Amino acid sequence: MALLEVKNLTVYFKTFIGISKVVEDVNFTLEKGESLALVGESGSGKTTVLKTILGVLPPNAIVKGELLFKNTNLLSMGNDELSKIRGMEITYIPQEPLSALNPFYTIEEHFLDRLVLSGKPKAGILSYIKLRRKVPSELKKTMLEYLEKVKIPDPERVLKSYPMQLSGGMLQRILIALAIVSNPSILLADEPTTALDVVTQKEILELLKELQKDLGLSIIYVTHDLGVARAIADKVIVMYAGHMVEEGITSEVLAKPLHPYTKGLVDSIPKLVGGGLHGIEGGLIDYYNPPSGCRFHPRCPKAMSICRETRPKPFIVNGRKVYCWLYGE
Amino acid sequence: MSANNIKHYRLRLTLYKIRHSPTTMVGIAIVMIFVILALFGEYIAPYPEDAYTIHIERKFIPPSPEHPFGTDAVGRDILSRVILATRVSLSIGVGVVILAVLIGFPLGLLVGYIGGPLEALVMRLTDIFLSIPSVVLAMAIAAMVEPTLQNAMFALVIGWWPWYTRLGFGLASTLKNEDYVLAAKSFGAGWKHIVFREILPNAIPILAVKASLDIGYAILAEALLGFIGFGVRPPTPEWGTMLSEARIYLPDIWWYATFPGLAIFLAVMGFNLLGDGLRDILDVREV
Repeated sequence: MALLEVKNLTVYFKTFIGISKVVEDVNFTLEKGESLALVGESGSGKTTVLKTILGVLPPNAIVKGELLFKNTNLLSMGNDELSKIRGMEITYIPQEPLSALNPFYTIEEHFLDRLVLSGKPKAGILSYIKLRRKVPSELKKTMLEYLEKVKIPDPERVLKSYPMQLSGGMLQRILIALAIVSNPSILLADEPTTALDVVTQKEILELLKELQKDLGLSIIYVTHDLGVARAIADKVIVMYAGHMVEEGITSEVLAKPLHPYTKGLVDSIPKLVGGGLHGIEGGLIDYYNPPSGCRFHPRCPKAMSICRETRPKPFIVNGRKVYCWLYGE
Repeated sequence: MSANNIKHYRLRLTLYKIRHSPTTMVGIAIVMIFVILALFGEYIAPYPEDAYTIHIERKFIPPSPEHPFGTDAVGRDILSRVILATRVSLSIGVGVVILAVLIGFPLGLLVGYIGGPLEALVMRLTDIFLSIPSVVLAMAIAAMVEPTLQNAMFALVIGWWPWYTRLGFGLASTLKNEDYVLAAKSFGAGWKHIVFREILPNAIPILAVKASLDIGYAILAEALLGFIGFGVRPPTPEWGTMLSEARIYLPDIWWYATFPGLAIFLAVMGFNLLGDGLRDILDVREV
């Protein structure tokens, strides 16, 4: 049984111009302890998929399909049931660590709120005020424990600090610590390293990999950086304009891309030796009037007439799913 | 800067900013003087009994050492009455703003965050209130009820709370898109936590600036109500009422109208300078 099963997930947004068809027919499964990367250029709908799983889409979103978490559909759940899963079983690491922590509170206060929200300790308004006035030593011990788990130096000092006093890497570690407080089974990471410098980036990725192993976490990364995907994800899903184009084992997909879009992406990574840069001609599509058939066909060097008419089915090639007519029949 | 003394550091920064802003210092000084006058008026005023007693034999004495601001049509010491009126004006000014904030602001934050049909309902309701000039609304209400301190306050609050609902609504609808709100949501926070723990503290600096500016305007509005006869009932000393009594004696008995007018002017200016100073100190640009 898969931990998370996404079936025919379609997300549209109703706006004053019309209906923006942002994500269509996304299918994948996530096993326990597995890491998955959603890769694609900006605006390809990967963050939308993540936000749908987290359940934080704006009210104008129309969501179809199924999100099966341990065989129950998250999309048909009421708010009460959902609150036992969101923030408990499924947690999230945001993209910009500095703006993801409220500037008004110290790290200790953030931890306290997070602990109370995840029900340990359970506190009503009055006992919460008491807790805020003086944090009991066993709670403080828990906080320090989690800070040590994410390898924060001098955790006592960090607890007393405000977000603006700490570096981006530190804050990202703190956010990871806050996310794992509830012993989640799935961690959603939205470009967790984009805002960090390369050295810190590596440290954070290593930390996440370690936590994945130690805690048996499943992680979904959203990233536009193929290098990041290669470094951390077992499986990769390449998305273009809200459609999946290729899915497979990360190393295989990046070593030998099958879909013309994936090929284009891999080719546009600058090489250390020789040759100029290669890009993919054209820009992102208009989501209000998406191209018929395969959404990539206007930019595809190998487009055929069938690509314009019918959306490609997933074809299995070498144990990989490719959504491209080149591999049909 | 070590983590332990950041609160201390903030205090020092605030004091530094105040010291380097003369207008703020003036504002704080004026407001403090009025607060002291409001609290201890009976002990400071040279003739505290003149609030109510009449000395017809010494009417219209021009400013002199015994009566620095002169006396009025029934021989009451104007300095004493101006001082004693501070309590009424200040308590109405502060009271109106506090009540309007308490009623309007949380409501605005709430509908700004939740949105939907509730937002439409509440915001159209505020539109209705705001479409009627607040002083006219206050006059209408004041005319219907007994002219007491509480009722004058009540009349002004009715026209005032929608401004804070609008302010709260605007702040909540921008602040709810902040990353830390999304992060809190992802940690399982419900609307109560998000509105009151995440959004409210970040909205308070802007609220504080607007509220301190508004205290001045509330004092002005209250004086206006007094001037047109809908305020606190005479002979209770009140700046607006004193002005309207003095109006017919101008320009010969100039001191009768001048000093209550100056008091209104100074009080409004004091709160405005304080609000302006707060805006710089709290680094708020929106209001």
